[in-house]
Amino acid sequence: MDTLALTRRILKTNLQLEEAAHFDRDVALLGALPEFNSLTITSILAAIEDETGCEIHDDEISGEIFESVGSLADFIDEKLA
Amino acid sequence: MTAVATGEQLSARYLGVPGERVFTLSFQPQQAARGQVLYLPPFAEEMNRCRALAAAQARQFAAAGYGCTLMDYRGTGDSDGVFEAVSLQDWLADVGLVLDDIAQRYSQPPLLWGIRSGCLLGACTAGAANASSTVTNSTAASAIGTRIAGLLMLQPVVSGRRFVRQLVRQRIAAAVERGAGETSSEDIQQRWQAGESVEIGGYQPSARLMLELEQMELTDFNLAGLPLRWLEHLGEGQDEPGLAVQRMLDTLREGGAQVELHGFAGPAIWQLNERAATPELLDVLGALYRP
Repeated sequence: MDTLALTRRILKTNLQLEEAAHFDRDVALLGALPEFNSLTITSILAAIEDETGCEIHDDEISGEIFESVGSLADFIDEKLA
Repeated sequence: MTAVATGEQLSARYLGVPGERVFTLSFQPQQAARGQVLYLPPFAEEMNRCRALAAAQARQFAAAGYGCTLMDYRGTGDSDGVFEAVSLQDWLADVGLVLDDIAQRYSQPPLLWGIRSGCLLGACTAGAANASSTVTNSTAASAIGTRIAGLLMLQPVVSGRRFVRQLVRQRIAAAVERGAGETSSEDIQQRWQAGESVEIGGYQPSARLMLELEQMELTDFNLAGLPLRWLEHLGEGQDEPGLAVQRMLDTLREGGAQVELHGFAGPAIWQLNERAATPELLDVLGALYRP
């Protein structure tokens, strides 16, 4: 599976942001995009769980995951491993 | 837009005894219906977000010749009861009550159309009907004995456990944003186990409701022989659903359900706070249930 493509798709759906379809890995998210708030974070985490069937635990959730498109893609990769 | 002119017969009714009445709104075609559909709404805020779609599709069903009944579970919408006090068993009883009414009125086994967690209630009801129909000539034809024509599942919640965990996370994220004290999932679980109700996203579900919801898994129900149409949201450039959904479809097929998968594009309305039109989804449904 192309994790970067999956990450872009999840971002686009949950942020309702067309540009997300073309985000590079270095695009900053949390603190940089006004659309990125706690509700977005929960819906993105839910989407990752629903798409991959993985389980994300409370203690895995940190701001670092949401720093950039790349960090989020890496997190999804880890969950898929 | 001729459908508006031809119209459908609308009837709003309350079923059940005072204090426990269930509100139903039925859309019937002008001519004899080809079949009946019962809509099973999703949970809490998702229910509100899907209201406009449910009404639009009920009209589209009627225009295609199917009767469609919308219902509010007790403690929601126009039904009796308060949300804080209802349980999942109450809601399943409500579904049974409406099914009985549809069976009496139209003598047609309905299709159960769920959105999100409504699909779990639909599968639970269909599974119970399936189990009782294998008992020879069951005359215990209450709600559970009613035959079900099939399931239509829109973006179904497959795991109550995962769904509840996601709801709880909303509360945790909101607390973090407010700078409020730490709350953990375990903490909330303990409060539920002790019977305490915990506010989540502006709703105050009973501990019992959440603990019951957590026990619902789609794979636990016997859907053998049932036609099951699964509608899954596909993002741009995506031509098949994620791995988890594909695995689930395989499991359902192995269990004997007659599964069809249909994708749809457009906004994911159950998770959006702003109302959005859903022409793509209505087109897919319109093509599946044609006049």
